[in-house]
Amino acid sequence: MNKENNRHEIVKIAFILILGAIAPMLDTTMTNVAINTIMNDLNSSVHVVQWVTTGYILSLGITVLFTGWASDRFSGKNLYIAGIILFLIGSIFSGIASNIDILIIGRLIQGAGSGIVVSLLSTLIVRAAGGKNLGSLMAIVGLPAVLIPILGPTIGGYIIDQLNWRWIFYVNIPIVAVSIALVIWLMPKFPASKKYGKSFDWIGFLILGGMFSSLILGIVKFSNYGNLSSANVLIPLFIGIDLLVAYVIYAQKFSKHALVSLSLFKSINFSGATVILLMSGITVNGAMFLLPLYLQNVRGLSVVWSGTYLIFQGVGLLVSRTQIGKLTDRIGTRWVVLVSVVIAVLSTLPFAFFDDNTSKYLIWLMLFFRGIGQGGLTIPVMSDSYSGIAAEQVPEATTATRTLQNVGGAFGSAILATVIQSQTNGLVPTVSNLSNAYHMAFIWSIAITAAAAIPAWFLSHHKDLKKQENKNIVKGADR
Amino acid sequence: MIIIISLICIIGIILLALLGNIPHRITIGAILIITLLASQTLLIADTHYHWGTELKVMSSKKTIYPLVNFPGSNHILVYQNINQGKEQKQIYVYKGSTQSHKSQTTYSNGITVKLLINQSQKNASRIKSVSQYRYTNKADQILFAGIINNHQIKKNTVSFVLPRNWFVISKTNLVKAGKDIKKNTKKTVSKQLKDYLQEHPKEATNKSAIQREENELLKKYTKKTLVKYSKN
Repeated sequence: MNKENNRHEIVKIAFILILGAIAPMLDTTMTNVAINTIMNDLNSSVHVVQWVTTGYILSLGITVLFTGWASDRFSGKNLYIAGIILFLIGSIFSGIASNIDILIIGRLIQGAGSGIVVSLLSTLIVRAAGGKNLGSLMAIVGLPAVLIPILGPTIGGYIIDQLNWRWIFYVNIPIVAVSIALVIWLMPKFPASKKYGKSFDWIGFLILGGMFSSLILGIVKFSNYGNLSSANVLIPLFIGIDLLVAYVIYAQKFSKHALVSLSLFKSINFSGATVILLMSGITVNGAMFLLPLYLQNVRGLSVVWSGTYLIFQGVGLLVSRTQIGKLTDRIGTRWVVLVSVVIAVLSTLPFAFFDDNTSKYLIWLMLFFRGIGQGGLTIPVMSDSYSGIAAEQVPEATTATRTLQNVGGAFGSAILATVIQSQTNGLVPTVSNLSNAYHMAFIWSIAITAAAAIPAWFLSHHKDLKKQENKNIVKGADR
Repeated sequence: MIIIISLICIIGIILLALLGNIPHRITIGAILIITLLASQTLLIADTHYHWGTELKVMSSKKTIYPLVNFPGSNHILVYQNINQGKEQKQIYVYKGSTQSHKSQTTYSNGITVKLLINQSQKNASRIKSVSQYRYTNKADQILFAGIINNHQIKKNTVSFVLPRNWFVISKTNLVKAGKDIKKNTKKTVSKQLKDYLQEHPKEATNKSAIQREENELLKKYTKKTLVKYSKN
């Protein structure tokens, strides 16, 4: 009975946390469909307006670095409330922005709030669950993390169609208000686990923050130039890579103070999971960038209709998520992810051949299967990145995985945008020309998805799970 | 090759940091860091100096024909503006042959479009120039692979060389120019012809001279109107 009550309590906490994270997660993709409208409305240029999305990712990534440490030192509940309020302030700023500069500042504040909320979502739920049944729990927590970005363009499309782009930010206000009330009323305090633990690693923060910012800047420049043959692209990329190397040396030398401990990577599961999360950032975010554009430019669909098509991905994800969670807990992550890679590849492959005459039912079917593949590629990996990780290292693990996911996401969109740009240079954007460019971008996306099978082999599988179970039994007997 | 050397250095430094018991760890680490920084400096410098390459420009020329003509052999190169916020790009429309019903297009996205108007030549042409880096030194080609590749394009330029009777007009202005000409030509030309005949009363009886003058005035007026609406 106690076990059942405990389970209810965890699910309740999960739902409150998810509600607070809905708006930040929606805003990662919802803004993408509004970029053109914002650019024209605020009379900006392509290079400036891209900071509306890039600035958000950048600010989110830097805050993630801080949140891991802060969740040990401060009450999880208070930190979560602070994150949501910060996000609310950013949303109001963005909504009322009269020029592109104010909008970018608003997005930076939003990103900072989002970084706190999104990191705490998994950290607090893993803490509440005590590291048990992570597969099925992550199916609950991971669902919005995958489903909401899919629905972002749909909801954004409807809002722009019916109201205007400012409402993309205003809609956050009631969601956040309800969420704050529920968190204050129902969520436990999650007291600081290491109130007098290690002080904040400022050096590590500066190195990792600099690395993240430089890599994102380099990726954005790469996307603008379309190749590596410019110092404007190479310098930030090299600084990012050098800072990564510097961090490894630093974290090894000062392992007790390091913001993200290298000992996490001793777990093969964790290392494999982080590589897949980096790659899934490329494939999932890349596809989220590619599919709406493809549906609008090649199929000639409106923003609203392209978003409606994408709902089929969400349906695929919804249908499969319970089974994915159960299977992950029963047979481990390896085979679930490998099969998902195959499904994702096979369901994306037809997009490399589809044209404007392809039946919409076939597209819906493929999107449905893509949803299944996408769920299988992210939900189990998120849970596996925590398996075998000590409870006190969960915040650090979240920091590492979130940072890599963000870098992967930015990289995915940049690679695919560059492929499309290089294919259409000087060509009038006719359906036929665009169709060829998008086909090439889909082939790239498929290749990266297929490559995820390599790190997937290092994820946990049923033998690992049995070993772990046996260890637990022995430990229990010893007591 | 230098990219691969850089990657090896990165992996080496990380392994040295992680695996503690390696003899001469500090020395090897220092060599790897120096090599990494030197490689990166070389790669950045190559984006400026393009070692071992020469810039080759390849051009192709094609005669183009107008999609729209106005009286008096006034030809139009039509373009449409594509707005992207503050930025504006253009699609230029023309024909590849006089008989062709199919139009050809050039989009100024990712390429440089030059309009060389009022040129002395008889026919209009489109010149495509592609400047690309060609390696003259195999060693440099291998060393800098991935940064500057062989045949890498530096710049794509399309130049429209247009004689004096060609006008570059946007689609919107073309409609306005058409309406203007249709509305005002007859009135203006007949007034100008009347003035001309008053100045040259002897030619009032010479039908062919009147016709010739009328055509000339029509051509001049059309040209004046097109200039008003064009980029020329």
